[in-house]
Amino acid sequence: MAVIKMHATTDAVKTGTSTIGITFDGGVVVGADHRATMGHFIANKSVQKMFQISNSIALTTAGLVGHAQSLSRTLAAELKLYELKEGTAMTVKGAATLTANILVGRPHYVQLLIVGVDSSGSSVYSIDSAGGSIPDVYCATGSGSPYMYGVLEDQYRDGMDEKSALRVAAKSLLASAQRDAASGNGMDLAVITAEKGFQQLSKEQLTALLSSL
Amino acid sequence: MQPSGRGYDHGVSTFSPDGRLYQVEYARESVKRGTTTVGLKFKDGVVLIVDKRISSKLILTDSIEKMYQIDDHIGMTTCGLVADARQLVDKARVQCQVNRMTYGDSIAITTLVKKMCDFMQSFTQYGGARPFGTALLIAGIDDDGIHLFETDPSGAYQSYQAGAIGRGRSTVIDHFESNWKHNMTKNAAIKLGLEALKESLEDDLNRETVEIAIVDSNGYVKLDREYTLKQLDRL
Repeated sequence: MAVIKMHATTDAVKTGTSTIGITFDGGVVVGADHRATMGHFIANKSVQKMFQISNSIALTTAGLVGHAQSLSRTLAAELKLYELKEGTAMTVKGAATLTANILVGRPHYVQLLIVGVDSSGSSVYSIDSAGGSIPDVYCATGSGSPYMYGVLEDQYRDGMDEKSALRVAAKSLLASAQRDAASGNGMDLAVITAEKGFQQLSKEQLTALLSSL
Repeated sequence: MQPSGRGYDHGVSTFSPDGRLYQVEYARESVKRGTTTVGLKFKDGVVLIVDKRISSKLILTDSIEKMYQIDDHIGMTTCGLVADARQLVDKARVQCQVNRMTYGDSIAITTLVKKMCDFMQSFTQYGGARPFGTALLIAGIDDDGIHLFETDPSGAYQSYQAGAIGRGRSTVIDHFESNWKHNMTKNAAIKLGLEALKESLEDDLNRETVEIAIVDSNGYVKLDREYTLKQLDRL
């Protein structure tokens, strides 16, 4: 995730970050690293790039911090209003389409993942800065994504269970932290299932997972 | 024949010589004819109760709403014109999310009440408008504590320990005045609320259409049917 000043040069507007979403049997794993950069400078070591935007939908952001945070606020508000008015939660596809429509009208310098669970199952949507929205079974975003795709192409399996999906996500984020200068400083990981909704791993759970890899 | 407002009731923004705004008073009449809903504070929060009073067994009870969640920490009951009420509910919900987007924080209850009342007041001062024929009970919890507000069509509001809106208001208020106490338990408050509501009705409470909601540190929670029936059985 890149932080820029006003009148930044083109180099400063580099998309840092590693975020990942992986569907598994019955849910989805979502994660992101913690680093924010201004060019070669690490501007912040504990940035939040994974946001819960409803009970069973999460957003990960890569790109400009300001654009990402603003979008996350808008989406959380829109999803809550939808839920109150309709009496039912928005589908993941609904949230992705809404986000895409916002971005087509007013492009933001971001690359997003919208991941979650609804009555149609678990899904991951990757969304680009101009509103392109593409569903997939797994997806990685940000400058660390090529390294994560290396791990994903090798280790993703259809019909994985929650535990395996978590391991693949953690391994992918570790790989990008090792090889991408704009990613690292730890990670957030969460699991979303129909039964339990959004559940972020605690520090202890994360440490246990990482040491078991 | 002289019209009842002697012509001063045609426009909402015209005072009568004795300083009254007839349209606002007529709007209050629509509230006075509305379904009674009650709200009362207890030790940890607020209880809201409404009997939807559905007149025909052909109507599906779920299609009638008198009690609404506004945000995680705020609930509202309405009485009077249902269509007007829905506009206010929508407005309140949006206002709560606007506060979250603007300040990154949940809205304070008094802030919401003032916003809603400013909005309602503006419909009593400009030509071409008509006031909302709706009163609201707004219950919520925030950093300042537990709140229960009542609003009326003029845009006036009051904060209550225990209050009611609708046609049975005075009976309920009388009952609360003699029986409401500080620091009641949740169950005691639900019982008192149901008793007060029951007293204001000509017939018995309808087991199928009574709804109870609690707003406390867990936020707004509407009780499910099974639990609601249990509470009714305690009467």
